[in-house]
Amino acid sequence: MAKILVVDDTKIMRTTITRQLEELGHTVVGEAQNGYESVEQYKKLKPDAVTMDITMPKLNNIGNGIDALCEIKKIDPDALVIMLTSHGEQKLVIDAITKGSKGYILKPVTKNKLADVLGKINIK
Amino acid sequence: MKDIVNNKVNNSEFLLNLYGDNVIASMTDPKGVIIFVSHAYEIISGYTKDELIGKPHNIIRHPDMPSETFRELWATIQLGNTWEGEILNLNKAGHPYWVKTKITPKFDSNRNITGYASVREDITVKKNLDKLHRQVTNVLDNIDEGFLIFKNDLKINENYSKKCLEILNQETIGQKNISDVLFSNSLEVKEIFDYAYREILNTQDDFSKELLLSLLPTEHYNDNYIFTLEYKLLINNECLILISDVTHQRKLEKIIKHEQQMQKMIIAIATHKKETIDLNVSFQKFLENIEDYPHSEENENTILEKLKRDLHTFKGLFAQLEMLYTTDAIHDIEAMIVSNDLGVELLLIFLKSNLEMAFNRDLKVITDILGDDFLSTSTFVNVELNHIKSVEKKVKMIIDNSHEDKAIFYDLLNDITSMQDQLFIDMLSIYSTTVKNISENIQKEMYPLKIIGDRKILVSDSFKGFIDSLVHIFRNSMVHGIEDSETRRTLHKDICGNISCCYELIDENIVLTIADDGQGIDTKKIIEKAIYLKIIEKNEVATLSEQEILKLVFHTGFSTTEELTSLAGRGVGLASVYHELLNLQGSVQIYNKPKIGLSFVFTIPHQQIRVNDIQKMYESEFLINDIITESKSFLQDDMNIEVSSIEVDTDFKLDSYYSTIKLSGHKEIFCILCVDEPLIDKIFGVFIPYEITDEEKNDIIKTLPDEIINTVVGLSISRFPKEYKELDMSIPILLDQAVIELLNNDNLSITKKINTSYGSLKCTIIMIEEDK
Repeated sequence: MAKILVVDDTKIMRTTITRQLEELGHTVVGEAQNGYESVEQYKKLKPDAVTMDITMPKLNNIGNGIDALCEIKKIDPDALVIMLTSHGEQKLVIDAITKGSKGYILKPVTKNKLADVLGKINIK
Repeated sequence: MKDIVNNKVNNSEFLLNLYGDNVIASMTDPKGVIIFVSHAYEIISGYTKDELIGKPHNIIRHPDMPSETFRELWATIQLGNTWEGEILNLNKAGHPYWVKTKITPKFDSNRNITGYASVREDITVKKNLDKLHRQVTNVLDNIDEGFLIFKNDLKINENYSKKCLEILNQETIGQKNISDVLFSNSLEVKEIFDYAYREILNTQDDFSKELLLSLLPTEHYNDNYIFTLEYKLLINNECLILISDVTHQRKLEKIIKHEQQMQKMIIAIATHKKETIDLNVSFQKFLENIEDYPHSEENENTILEKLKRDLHTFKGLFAQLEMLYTTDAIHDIEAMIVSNDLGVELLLIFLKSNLEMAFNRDLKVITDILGDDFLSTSTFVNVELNHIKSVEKKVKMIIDNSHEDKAIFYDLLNDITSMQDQLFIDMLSIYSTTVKNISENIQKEMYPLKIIGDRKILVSDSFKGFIDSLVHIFRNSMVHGIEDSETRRTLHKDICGNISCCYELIDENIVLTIADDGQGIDTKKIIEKAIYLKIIEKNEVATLSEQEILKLVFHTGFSTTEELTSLAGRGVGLASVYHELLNLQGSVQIYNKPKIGLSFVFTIPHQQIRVNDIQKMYESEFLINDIITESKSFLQDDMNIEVSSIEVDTDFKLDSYYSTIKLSGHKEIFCILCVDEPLIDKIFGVFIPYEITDEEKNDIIKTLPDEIINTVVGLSISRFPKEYKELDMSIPILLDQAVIELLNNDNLSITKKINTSYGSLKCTIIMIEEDK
């Protein structure tokens, strides 16, 4: 059981992912709807892992999920950030991994995919 | 001298030793019995000199060596010739070794063979390598999988399986670039492969390497094959790829999937007939209008974004109906929009033809199975009115709160409102019962009410009041118009009274005629009564036309009968009909034929003003909201002035600082922005943070509202509903008196006020209709 921060710009995605994570036995300690908020939340909540939507609107110079990932990595180099991505975003995923993301999920997000990717980074 | 001799001896000894240590040499007598072996011979064979001398050479013979080789060997050397060949031997420990052997006969002076000398070279390693190579090649040539290794310069190793060539349709792939060879038909995939692999080489972290490896393409295709790709990182960043031909599998899967898909689609469509028909219509329309996309003034990206949004919506709808040819085709087009290799014009042409083709394929399946007219038949569903009302309410709320493109919501609202339309004939049919009931009540025999008209004519909800009021017409006809049966008999009329009700659509008007075959109206009585009720003056009578006189019956309080019955004669009945009629902007004509009958002919505009009206009301509200939103963000984000509240301002007054801008296009819209003095001072401070003279300040501050309105309205236009985006924004203008008057008179103006701790900013919108 882990503390997880869910970041996505749409409410419906946040709700879905939160429910799936909770069904897997994790605790969603916070939700953020943009990169900027996610960084603030990360500072405050110190979650065990973050699920981060890769495309989100820009706010306070933090653009998409990758920007947010970099900011979070600055705060905590060991942060475990999982990117949520759609088809056709492979390049962004490659960028995210080189910038320290520890996993990715191709949307649609399912419980199995979440369990799988969290398992790989030893979050159970 | 002795030293020299010694030296020579030493040298020879050294050379001999060197020879003996390195050359596998032996000598035999003519019969092949060993008489000499070199030290190297001892080492490789594992036998000592003592063990070997006096023995035949076959002491080291390997059982696998064919005896023909030795027969041929002996035949050669016994004739005095030199034999050369490769021989497999077995050493003392039982290990095989290969030697390349040269055997030369020795002769005496008479050329008799005195023995044989042989030298050998150890070729075991080479032999083993050859064998291994043969085995590997054998495997690579015969394995039914593509197998190759590429190095970190992305060049393919020479050793790859033959199957690779077959699958990849190449003559040779050694030293070629891996991504060129695999993905030559897809630049996009190639780019991703190259990008990901470069990052794999760059990263030191094994976990990231594996993650990146999982991003490499796992399946691809060429003209002949579909193949899967499995990657395995080897040491030194070499990478092994296993290429498997899955063409047959995929084709089978496709066929099965296709069958299942067809079933799913048919089920989905049969259960969502209405949605299918609607989607069919809207998608056809979309394709027809596709050429209009690039003609909007937006830049290419905006067009593509919009196109992407529209397509995405369609994709969702088609997917829901399992119409996968179209869904897939849209999906492909979306990918093309993302890569944008074609340019908009070409893309649209491509899009149209591809989508049309895919769409028609889906349609063909549907009509093949469900019949040609499946999609053309209209359908009816039962929906509770309350349900529609609640949807309507929600849409209105969305319109209120949304800054999205509102055009679609108007459309939606229109659709919802028209859903509540009813068949005119259904609304009237209640009077069949009414006529029957009244006839029983007043004991006048009546034929059943005949209602004649186009059964398909729909009217909006707003007709309801009018239809309800018609009860008074029917009552009046039956109570006052239709004579009792005795009278009718003496008048040679059918003893059964008759009322007919017919309607038709003429020039966008519904013309409804309600006629009875009663006694008609006595106009004299009307005049008397009207004078008595002081509705008209006596001397007015001569000026009135017959029609005007007849219409007096619609006057409030008018009733020609003396007594009040429970059914007619309260004097308000016909007045309420007239009232309802006016609400619908209708008119009435009365045709009075004394003793024969009376007819009312109502003419009512068919399309009652509904959404358009609401839309107008809402639209100024939207525009003002958009402008207010931009103004708010201007104050907060650009000026750093906190906004405390936003309110509607009903009492419009110009502040000392204001600016007006005219937006013109299909409508004229004036937008006025007022800023009060404390706030303009604050804004001025942000614009000019340094000291200037009062005179300069006065000059500049006057232009500030212009500055603000340009920014705010300019930004707002992009938020406006579609049809307003094309409006031209003029430069700020002077507010003329006519406009100021409109402000106070016309309900098309709306003002909202933003309050801050410094002061307030007001925005006003005035919409001017084309005809004003």
